Amino acid sequence: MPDEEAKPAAAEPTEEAAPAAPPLLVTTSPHVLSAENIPRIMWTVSATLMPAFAWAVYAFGPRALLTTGIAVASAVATEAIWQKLRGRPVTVSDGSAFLSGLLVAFVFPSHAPWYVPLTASIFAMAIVKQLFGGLGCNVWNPALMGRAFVLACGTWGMAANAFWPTAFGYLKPARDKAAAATAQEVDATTGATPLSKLKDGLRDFKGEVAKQAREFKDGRRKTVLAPHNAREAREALREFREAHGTPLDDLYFGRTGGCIGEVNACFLFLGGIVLVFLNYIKWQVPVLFIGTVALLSWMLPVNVPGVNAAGDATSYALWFAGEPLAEVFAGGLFLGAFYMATDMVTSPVTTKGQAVFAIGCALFTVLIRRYGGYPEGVCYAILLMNTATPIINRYTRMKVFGQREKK
Amino acid sequence: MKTFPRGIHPHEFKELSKDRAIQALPPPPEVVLPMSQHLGVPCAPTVKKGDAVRKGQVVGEPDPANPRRFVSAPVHASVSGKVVAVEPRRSPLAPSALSVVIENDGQEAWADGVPAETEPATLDAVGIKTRIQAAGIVGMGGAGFPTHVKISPPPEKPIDTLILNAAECEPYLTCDYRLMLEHPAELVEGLLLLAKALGVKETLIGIEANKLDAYELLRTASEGKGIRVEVCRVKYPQGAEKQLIYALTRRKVPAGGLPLDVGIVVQNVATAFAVREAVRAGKPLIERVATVTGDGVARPANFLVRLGTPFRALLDASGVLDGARKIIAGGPMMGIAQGSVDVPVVKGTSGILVLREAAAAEWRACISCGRCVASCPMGLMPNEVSIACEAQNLDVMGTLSIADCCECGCCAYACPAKRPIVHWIKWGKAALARRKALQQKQKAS
Repeated sequence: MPDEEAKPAAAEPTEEAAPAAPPLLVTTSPHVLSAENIPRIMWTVSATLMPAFAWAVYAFGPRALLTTGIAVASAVATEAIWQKLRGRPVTVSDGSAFLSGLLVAFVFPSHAPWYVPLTASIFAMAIVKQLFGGLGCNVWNPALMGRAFVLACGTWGMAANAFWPTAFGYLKPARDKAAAATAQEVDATTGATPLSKLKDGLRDFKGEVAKQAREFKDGRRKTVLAPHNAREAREALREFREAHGTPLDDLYFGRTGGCIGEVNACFLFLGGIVLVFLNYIKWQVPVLFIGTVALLSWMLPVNVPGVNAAGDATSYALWFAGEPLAEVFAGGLFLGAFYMATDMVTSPVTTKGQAVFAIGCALFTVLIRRYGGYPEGVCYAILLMNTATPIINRYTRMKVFGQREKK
Repeated sequence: MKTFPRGIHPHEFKELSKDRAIQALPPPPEVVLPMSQHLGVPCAPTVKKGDAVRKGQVVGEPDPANPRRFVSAPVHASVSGKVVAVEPRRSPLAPSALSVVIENDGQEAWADGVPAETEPATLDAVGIKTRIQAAGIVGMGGAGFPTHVKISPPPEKPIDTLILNAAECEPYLTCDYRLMLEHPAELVEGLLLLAKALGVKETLIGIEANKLDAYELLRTASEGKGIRVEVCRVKYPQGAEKQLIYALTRRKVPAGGLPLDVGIVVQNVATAFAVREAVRAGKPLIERVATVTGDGVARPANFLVRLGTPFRALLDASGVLDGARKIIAGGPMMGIAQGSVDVPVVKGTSGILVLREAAAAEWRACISCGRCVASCPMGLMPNEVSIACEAQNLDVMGTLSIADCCECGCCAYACPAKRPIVHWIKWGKAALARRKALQQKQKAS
């Protein structure tokens, strides 16, 4: 195959220079290109994250700024050094390393130790992005991989849960009385995120019911304070939520604990709207992702611990008992739906493929949140679907105009 | 508003030349007439160096011995004078094409029997076709397919609809628009002649919504003549044959097929005008309207120009500005960049575009943003094609339907990584054809 023909005709000077002084450029059509380019996309997406970032600095204090600074600087530096060592053109000015660094910071709590964002950024840029060939060639979302990697680093004595709770000292939660009380004493209190509060609470509840059931069997206890039927279970769930849930407006406006970038669903939503109007993301992805999470978390059964007639510990599966709005506004769903599942490189190409991708993300998110070991499932759900992207692409191709169905 | 799926919205820049009335450019001192200005069998010169020729005289005809000579179109002298050379010259379509070079004697003397005015009503379908063929008319939107072939469908493919492609969706170009504004009645007459030659039931005109004044004129001119004028959304490539057909009739030309397969023939505005000139006025195709425009010219214009006139003459008339970097035969989306201004205007030259700013030449890896896929009017996956072509992976390329690519350029236009997708696809088509030829040769031996 002749090599030279494959080389796109960049500047092929011609022998004749007239009428203009420099030689005429001869290239293949089209001769006009859209104004869109990679730096513009990356910097614009970064800009739309600024409101959510500003909120994090306001809510969590300067520490959020520091954590983000470490993540961004190490991401940019890693990419630059890698490209320098590999003798490739250094492309950090295109904003993609900046954006990745920003998103790495966004998926960690502001009070994470300094080496956490550093490690996550280096891993994300060097291993997840550059080792696979750089921008456009990575299989997984670098920021989420960075998070998954650090969460897996158990040897550092950092239990996964330690990264979920976050300091929430600067802004006093409006209605979280316990947090408000402790906030008087210390500048920054640590508390569970809304999702982990629910998950941990339910786990504790289950333990308590099991304990009481055992004691009842042993005759040490006359009654078990647990639901004995589905109706009571439903009532218990309502009470449980009142005790452990976070008010919806606090969730939506970010007056709650969580990772730097994820708490303020409202600002992420506004940034996402801008991206939709700029045609940088398709509305189908966040709408299907968030919508399916809402639907599934409302629909899929909540397992409420209780006892049966014989007094044995059991659980009542309550269908259609979920709280769709709380599930949607809590955790990293808005960040994931608007900024991670829409990542061009790691998500499918066609709208149909992206729809499948978004629904898959939602399914895994709800399954992990409700039945899995982690309180939050957005990160792993998206990484799982990233892995499925090539096969989704294969089965969601466009139909060639005028091509007949295969017989 | 009628349209097709996907496509792009490039800036039109039609305002540069849309208000410039068609202006006749004086015949140049010398014309160069390539023997291949069309798709099909190239012509063989019928004159030799030193011959005296007159305007409208045939100077090139397909070789009578060639069995495929029907798919061809004769070339006529566009000025009167003396043949000074029959030799390969540079053409806008090829680096080297056998051409007849005529020195203009300024006499403007018509050849015998030209022009021969006829009352079209006296002609039947065969008579119209014969005249179109003799006049050397080809598709003047750029493709250059001989018109008489297009209106002679095989009997097993009945044609029920004729469409006049008045979309002119290429940015910058305004030659069709000016023809519609200045000669609506002639256009309609040409269209009706084509309809008569084809014997169609329905005749449509598809025009983009950015030319509503032309739409009104065409509607008035075609009133009571059984022609429906339809407005299409302004979107590129609205004027691509398959896309226009789909927009107006919802019929899908099968992949790898022709409009004939769905009973439709599409003709371009300039072609319809040339048909009218050929049939009623008896003039062979020796001139056309070409737009000279772009940010690299001082005075954008729509010129009525003799075929064979060098680009240089048009550019001089419009005044090329300093810093012009690209000279393109045709529009910015599908036009062919020229390495020289000493190429002649041919039948398919709808315009000359002079650009000062050259499009970005550096490209990056595909970031899978899907813009090319979302813009491809043919429903291809240009991202996959570009990756396969970049890697020169012929096996993969062969599975990606690149034969269906119409090279409209939407994908490369939309690409934020500035990947030269059309370039790669053109290379890929050629490479696949070469491989196929090689395999056939090996099989034969």
